[in-house]
Amino acid sequence: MTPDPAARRYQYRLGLAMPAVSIFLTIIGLAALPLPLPFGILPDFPLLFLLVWGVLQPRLLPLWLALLLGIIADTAEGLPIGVQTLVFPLVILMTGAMLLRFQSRSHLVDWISAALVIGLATFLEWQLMAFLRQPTALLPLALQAATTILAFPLAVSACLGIEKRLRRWAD
Amino acid sequence: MRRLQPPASGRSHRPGYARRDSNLALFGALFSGVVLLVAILLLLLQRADPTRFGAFRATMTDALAPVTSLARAPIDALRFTGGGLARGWQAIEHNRQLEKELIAARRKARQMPEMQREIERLQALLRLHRPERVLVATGVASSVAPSGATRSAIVSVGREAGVTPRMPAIAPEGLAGRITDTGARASRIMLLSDSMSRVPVLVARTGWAGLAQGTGAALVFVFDVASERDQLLPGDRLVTSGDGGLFPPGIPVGRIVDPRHNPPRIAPAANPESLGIVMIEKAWMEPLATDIPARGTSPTAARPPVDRPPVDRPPADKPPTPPPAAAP
Repeated sequence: MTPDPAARRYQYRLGLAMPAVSIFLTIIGLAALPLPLPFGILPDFPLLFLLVWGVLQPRLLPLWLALLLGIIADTAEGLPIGVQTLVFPLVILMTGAMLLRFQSRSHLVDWISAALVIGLATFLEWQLMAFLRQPTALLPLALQAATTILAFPLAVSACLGIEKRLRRWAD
Repeated sequence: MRRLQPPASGRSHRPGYARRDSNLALFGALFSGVVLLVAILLLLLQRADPTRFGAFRATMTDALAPVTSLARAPIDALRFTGGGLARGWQAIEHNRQLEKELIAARRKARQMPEMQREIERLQALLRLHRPERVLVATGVASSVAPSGATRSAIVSVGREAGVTPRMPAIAPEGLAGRITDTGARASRIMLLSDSMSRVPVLVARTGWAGLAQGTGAALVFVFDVASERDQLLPGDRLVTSGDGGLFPPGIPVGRIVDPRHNPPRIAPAANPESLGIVMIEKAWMEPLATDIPARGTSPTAARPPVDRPPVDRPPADKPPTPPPAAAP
């Protein structure tokens, strides 16, 4: 517990920014990582973190922030502007709909719902690339979607860990 | 029992908090719609004119380059240490192999001056004008974006060093790709395995021409051979042919690893995971049309036809390659 109100305010603001900061760091981190596999497919961690934070702390990830993060993701990954810029806000809307639909969820239901959202987001990305006259093969995107779905529990535990620390920090 | 009275005016009698929630929900829905409209507008602008966000992308590339370099520093340090240890471990064997290669190279080198003189004499007779390769800048490829949709890397030189989009990027081991976006001090390279990458190549052993085509996941060789008896062999080297005028001829592109696969797979000569130092050269032959924009341009207007054929065109559309010519 911090006695200084100014420090507490600072910590509170930092806590509010944490979801966006963690997504930004995954975007930068992925851009900096070398390719570890022959296919070069890593889980789409920015999308995964966006999805998990959208479920855990929907108020901290408004739509406009998802739009900004999407623009950053597009430029960092070398995609044409508009792909993740549109996919990210739609993912937030989908997670909002998921939250309304499944009030009492189990981890398995969460995972299946996340797989559905990831699949839809990947399909949309594929279609948008074609729309922007840069058609890309479906196989690498499908592989990336599969690894992203498999990595869902990892992202959940990471985000829960961050959230737990933030709560402890705020108390 | 008291009867409910109708409201005196037409105004709603909902509690204040309910009305506020309803207004907030309405405002939220409107705001969501506006955000989505902005995203769709950006998408349509990008489709209408792929070069529209060039300046913004360049600024972002500049901003991201130092951050990604910093994030990659520990990985590079680990790789350097690991590579050093591995080289030390295999030093004796490696040394023996190099000695053998040196003896063979010396034997070949003795014949070279005569051959070179003969080539120069024939070129003089033909009055052949061969374009020169021009080095523009040398930088370090500091990151590789492992997105499912693109294969690209960031290199530490940009417009200030004279780098412009479409220039070939060549690593010490072979061709790395070409420049697509340029910032002031950093640029983006489209790697060979990107699904939009097409490089005209020759098989060094036979002289067959074809395209080294990225699929987004791998690099494959798309070609058309007249005779069914002629077959590719594992280990066949592919070099740039110079067709299309972008890449200079004779640059190693890769070697065939799986000739039976349809289309045959290529192992790139320059490992995209560790490009290291990269040379940026001028396009070997300047195109007649000068407005060649960055990645994301219309296939019909963007690049020379050989460099980037339509994606859905079957390889059989290419005219059959004439009988083997001398590889460069």
